[in-house]
Amino acid sequence: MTRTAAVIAAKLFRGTLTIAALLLVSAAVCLAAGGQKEEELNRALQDIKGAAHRVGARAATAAAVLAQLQSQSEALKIEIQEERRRVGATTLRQAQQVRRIDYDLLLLQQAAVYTGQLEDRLAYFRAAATRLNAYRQQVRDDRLMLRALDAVDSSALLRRIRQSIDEFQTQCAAPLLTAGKGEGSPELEALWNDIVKGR
Amino acid sequence: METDSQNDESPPTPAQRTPAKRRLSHAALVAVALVCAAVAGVWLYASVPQLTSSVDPPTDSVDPAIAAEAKPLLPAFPQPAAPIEDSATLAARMTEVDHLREILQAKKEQILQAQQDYRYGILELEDEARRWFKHARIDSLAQALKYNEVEALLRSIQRRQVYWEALDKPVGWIESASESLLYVNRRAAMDLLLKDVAAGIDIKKHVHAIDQALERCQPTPERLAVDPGSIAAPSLEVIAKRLVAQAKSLGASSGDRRGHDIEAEVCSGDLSRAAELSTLSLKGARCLAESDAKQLFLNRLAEMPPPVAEALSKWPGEWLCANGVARLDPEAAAHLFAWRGEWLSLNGLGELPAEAGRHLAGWSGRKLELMGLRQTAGAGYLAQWEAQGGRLFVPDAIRSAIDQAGRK
Repeated sequence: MTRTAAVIAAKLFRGTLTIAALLLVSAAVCLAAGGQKEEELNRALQDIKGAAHRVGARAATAAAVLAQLQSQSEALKIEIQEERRRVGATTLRQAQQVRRIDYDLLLLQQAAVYTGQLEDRLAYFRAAATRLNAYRQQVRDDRLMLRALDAVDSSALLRRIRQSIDEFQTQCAAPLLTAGKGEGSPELEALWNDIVKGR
Repeated sequence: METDSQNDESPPTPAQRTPAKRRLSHAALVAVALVCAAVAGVWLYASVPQLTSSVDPPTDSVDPAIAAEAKPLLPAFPQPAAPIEDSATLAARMTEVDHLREILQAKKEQILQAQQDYRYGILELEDEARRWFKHARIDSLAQALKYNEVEALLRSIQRRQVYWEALDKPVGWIESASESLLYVNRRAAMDLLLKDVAAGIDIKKHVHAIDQALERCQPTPERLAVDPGSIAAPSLEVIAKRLVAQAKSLGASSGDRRGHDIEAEVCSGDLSRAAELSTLSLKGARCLAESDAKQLFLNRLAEMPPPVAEALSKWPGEWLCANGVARLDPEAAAHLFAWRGEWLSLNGLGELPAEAGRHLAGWSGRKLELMGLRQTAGAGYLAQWEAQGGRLFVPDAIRSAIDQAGRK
């Protein structure tokens, strides 16, 4: 009788120990999995930070070149205005008889093509920076959720982030503009009219 | 029979284990599992960075400070820059273009000077011809051609006009070449600015374009050559008609005759009556400029036309008095303030327009008298000239305006 009770007690003790061990192991596994997810989110934050740096630097380069081109364009416009007043040209045809104005208009036209492309690129980089910022917020939110609930599926977000960063990386590596592209080239008549109107 | 030594040397089979031993064995296994689980948990916990950190501060935009901290995760993007040697070649060519433009500019100034000489030469001849027309009462070409001197004058005027016009062609060529060079340079400079950030910039193409322009724009004698034969000379009839009309408007006073006589004296080296001149022809001004007098008093002159001012600006004297001149146009001012003398008296001037004042700012003279000045338009320029060390004599009201302008 005593022996039977001892056997039962031993079995109970073993079962309890096994359950406790299983609980501890599962807790450790959960902790490990949660840690892994958080690590992924932190890594994503680092990647976003790096990408934002690249995008910001590229945008700054574009803005600097754009500013120089705009400054050159303004100087050309002033020169055209001065020449226009000097010779009394009112129509494009008259203006094109003056070599300086004629050449300045061609330079202005080329500068407009370049500035157009640079403005597009700058707009793209600004949009990219905004998107990266949004991703950063979302990753932080997910991390908070993960810490609170240990259960957040961020895989889709991380995938999107990866794709975006890859795209931004490609765009950052690409030239800011392509010479020889004629698209966006304004008509000389339109350029001239803007100058005459003082725009 | 089982012995302890046997148990020590070889592990017992399950059948061989006693219940007590089996219990001990299970407990040990569980303990080992627990320890392993705990160790694994602690290791995982420790290996995840920043798990214990607080919530990151929110940022609303791409913060440059954050960006600066960021480690470069991506490789540096490739620069589509042109090879350095191409850029250096282009820069060297652009310098050549600048140099050639300077040469062209100098050549243009030379030609313009020659053109001006012809123009002033024509004015001189016309002065003389008008006097002839007046004196001999000539009122047609036919009459004029009866006088050999007058015919020679008319033909000289005709020839100089042709030469003067013929020089328009090389001036036009130079201006065109210069503009063309400026354009290729500016176009290349624009692409040089973009070469590090743009694709498709063809530096070699620019070098080639500049090379062609440099060749095309060399001011060779052939390119600058003039062909006076191709210019339609103004007819003697037209020239004579104009001079007849001008001669009629000339005063017939004894003053005019006296002025002519005084100029003749001046041109023969006698300046004793120069101060009595009330008009001054270009020829008279040239004669005065050739004199070695240190002072010239021309206070009866009421006008200072640009050609006269230019001729007088070549006079190597020290003090020029023209206190009768009431108005100075900017072109005349440009010439007068290019004079190398020291002292200029223009006390008849009521105003110094800003356009004329601008030229004063660069005058190398030391004293300027403007005691008749009433308008303060050019006060800023006067202040500027004075600040450079010039000594200025002006009425008190103008002095206040100048001091005010000087303080600004």
